[in-house]
Amino acid sequence: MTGDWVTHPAVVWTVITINVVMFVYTVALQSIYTSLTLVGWRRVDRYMRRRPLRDYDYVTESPLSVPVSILVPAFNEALTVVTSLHALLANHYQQVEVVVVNDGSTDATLTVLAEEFRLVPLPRAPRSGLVTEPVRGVYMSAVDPRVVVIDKDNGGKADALNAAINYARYPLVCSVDADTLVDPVALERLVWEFQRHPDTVATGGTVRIANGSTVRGGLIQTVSTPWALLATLQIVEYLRAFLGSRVGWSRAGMLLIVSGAFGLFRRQALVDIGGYDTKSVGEDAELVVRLYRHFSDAGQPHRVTFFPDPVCWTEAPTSWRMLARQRDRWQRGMTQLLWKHRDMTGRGRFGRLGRWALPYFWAFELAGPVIEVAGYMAIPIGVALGILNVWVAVALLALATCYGAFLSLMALLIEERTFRRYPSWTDLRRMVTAIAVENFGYRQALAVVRVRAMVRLLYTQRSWGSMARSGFTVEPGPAAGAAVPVEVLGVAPFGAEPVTGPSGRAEVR
Amino acid sequence: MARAVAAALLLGTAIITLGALVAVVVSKATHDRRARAHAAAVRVGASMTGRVVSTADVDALASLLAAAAAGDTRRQADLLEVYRRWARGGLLSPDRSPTDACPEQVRVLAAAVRDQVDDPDPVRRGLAVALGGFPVHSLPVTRLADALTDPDPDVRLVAADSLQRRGTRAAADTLIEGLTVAALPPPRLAERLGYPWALPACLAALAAADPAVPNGVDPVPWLTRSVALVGDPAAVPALLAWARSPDLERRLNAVRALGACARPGDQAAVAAVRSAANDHSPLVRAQAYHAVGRLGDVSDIPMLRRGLTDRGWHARGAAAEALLRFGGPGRAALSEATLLSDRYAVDRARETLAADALARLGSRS
Repeated sequence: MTGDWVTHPAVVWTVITINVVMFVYTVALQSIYTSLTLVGWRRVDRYMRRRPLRDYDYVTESPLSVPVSILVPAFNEALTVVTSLHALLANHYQQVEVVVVNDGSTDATLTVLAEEFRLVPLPRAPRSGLVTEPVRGVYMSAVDPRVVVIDKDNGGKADALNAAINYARYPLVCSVDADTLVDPVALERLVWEFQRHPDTVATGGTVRIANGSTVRGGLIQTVSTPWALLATLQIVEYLRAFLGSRVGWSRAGMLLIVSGAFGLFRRQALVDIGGYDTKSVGEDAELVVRLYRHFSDAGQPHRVTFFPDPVCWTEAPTSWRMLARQRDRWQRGMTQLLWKHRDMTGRGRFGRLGRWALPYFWAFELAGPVIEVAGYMAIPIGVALGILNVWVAVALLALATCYGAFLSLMALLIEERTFRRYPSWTDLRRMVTAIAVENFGYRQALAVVRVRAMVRLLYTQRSWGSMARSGFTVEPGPAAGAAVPVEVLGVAPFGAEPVTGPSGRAEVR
Repeated sequence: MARAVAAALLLGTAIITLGALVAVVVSKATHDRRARAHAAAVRVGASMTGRVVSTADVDALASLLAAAAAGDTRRQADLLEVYRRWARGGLLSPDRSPTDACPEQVRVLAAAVRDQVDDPDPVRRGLAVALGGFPVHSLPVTRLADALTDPDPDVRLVAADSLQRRGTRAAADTLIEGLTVAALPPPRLAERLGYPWALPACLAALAAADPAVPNGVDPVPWLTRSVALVGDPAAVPALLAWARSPDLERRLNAVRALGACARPGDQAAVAAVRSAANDHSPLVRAQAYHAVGRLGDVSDIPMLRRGLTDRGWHARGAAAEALLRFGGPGRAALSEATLLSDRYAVDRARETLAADALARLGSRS
């Protein structure tokens, strides 16, 4: 008879099982998120109370502060690279060099750089031997000796970063995306973290979304949420991820990701592990896991941390197509990473990362979207087949939605109590609106994207994809070069030259 | 039953979600008020830097000082920010300060700071130690010394800041003591000793240091780094002995410091750095080449040219940089080096010549 299959025990048990699994998964996941958010709240609150004690300007002024090579991989970034570089050069922390890698761009990236910074060829010897695509030329700026440009054949972001590491000369390297705007005080705060804890090998800062904000002269002038809902949804998501989750993971010593858009590393540690993996889609997370593995194997103390105060700004996708592509890449990267380092999962030898963090990522970041999508299908099927009580199903769905909104509001509360980057009530209204609608389609669609990404990975597709840049909202600013009011320390390549710093004291490194 | 449980859970979740929303709104309103108070404090700091100060500014400063004295940690943090700004602008000294306009409030705050140094809350303790480092509310060096061994690392760091601000021999001795007990990472103490007022204490500590390397933190390398920051020729006799130390770190930093402190013509220093150029460690050789570049003469060019083929990466670069210091003859030696068969020497020579040419081009334009 036509209805027989509906009441078949296998069908009934399958639907029930899926729903039970989804319920257990949701409870477990929300419990973990709640714990991370509460830990994150406490840590951020504690940091804000202590922040006045920390004289970050001293880090900028001290001749014993560690200098930093800022690594900027650039592929077809003609529209934004100059703006980003000027922001980096205007950073309060002046003991820097900026190593830009033109990764075989097909647009005018190199031309724009050459014109803006008056590049001249410089036969600079590499400091390490990470294998990369051929380097076509090395250039130095005639107007700012801190700027070095490496022109090379295209090899992808990881390859470009490895080339930058080869030519970097300072003990700390900071990877920054070419379209990222770094807060003027961000770098000194990251360096402070390294100097406070000498066993730190990697530390990351917060990535915030610049959409809706106003940029002038490469610096964020006014912070605001955009009127477009899609970008505001991502702002809320980033707040939850950075102020809630990452602080919590970092506190627990299980931080898996130092964002490729803004992270500070010990150069020698990166060289020791062979640099970035050019075959990985998520090269930033894969690098961090490899750092853990390396230092665990060597039995050396190491810290990988997240520090919420240093901030960089990036442009979020403004169309669903671009957002889907981005999240597809992230999911493929995460899947690849977990599979590659599957032998670390559950192993106490790799500390809390192996024992707890990696199993979490397998269960909730990898299997989670599959369970979620299956649940979205199983619940209405169960109701339609009369297996599930419709009111219970509605109540549980509403419960999950409500609790998701609660966690997002908690992240917003942390933001309002601490950094308060969005000062206006209009911004608050927009973010609350985004929180209210987040669980009605946005989250579900992203789950589908993530599942599809894992399916696609089975066909071993790996690429950056392309992201159409619309650039930042820019007001006319001062002429390039004239807006840099700071003194260049003029440190010689090997630090041999006694230099006079801002304090007027002689120092020899 | 299941329906009732689900409804109860839903109601509970809705209530806490609504509660979170209310908390967000209240927090925003509260922090708006606090942000205005902070902005007012910052304005006071900025506006009282001029010769002419308005009555309104004096009243605002008095209000800020009073709130800080009453134990308001937010106002204390604001005041700390103001003091740091004034200190960088050279406006805070024992003889003169913008706070001279509010003597009574300053006296009350000084008493509050002395009491707050023993507070069980580390943030309140730290604020007191930080404020007590400024001439306006000077805490005795002995209290700052106690803070340098505080269980809380942030308190220890502000104690080091405050001792540096004190700038006395007693403060220097306390910071040096902090080096030996590892109160902070050594570079954080060494950078605070790199001032002329700390030099006598550093030299005395170097003279009294144990020739044997201790098990814990060895203060000698960090003391020599501090001495190098000062760059005073008076330090040379003390450094000469350490430049011959069997310990690598001591030797390396002493040679570095000799390069920074000695003057060309100081025969003893020149002999010491020339000798260090033959050290078995490439790190020491690198520092020696730097120092020879500063102190030596054209007779050192052949030695530096051999340094271009040093097996140590750092040493090769240092030799190339040092050659530039000898002007034309040094550049000629680098040019000749570009014809060597050693690829690494050729790379270094080319890079150094190109960077030098670029720098000279930039200085002319």
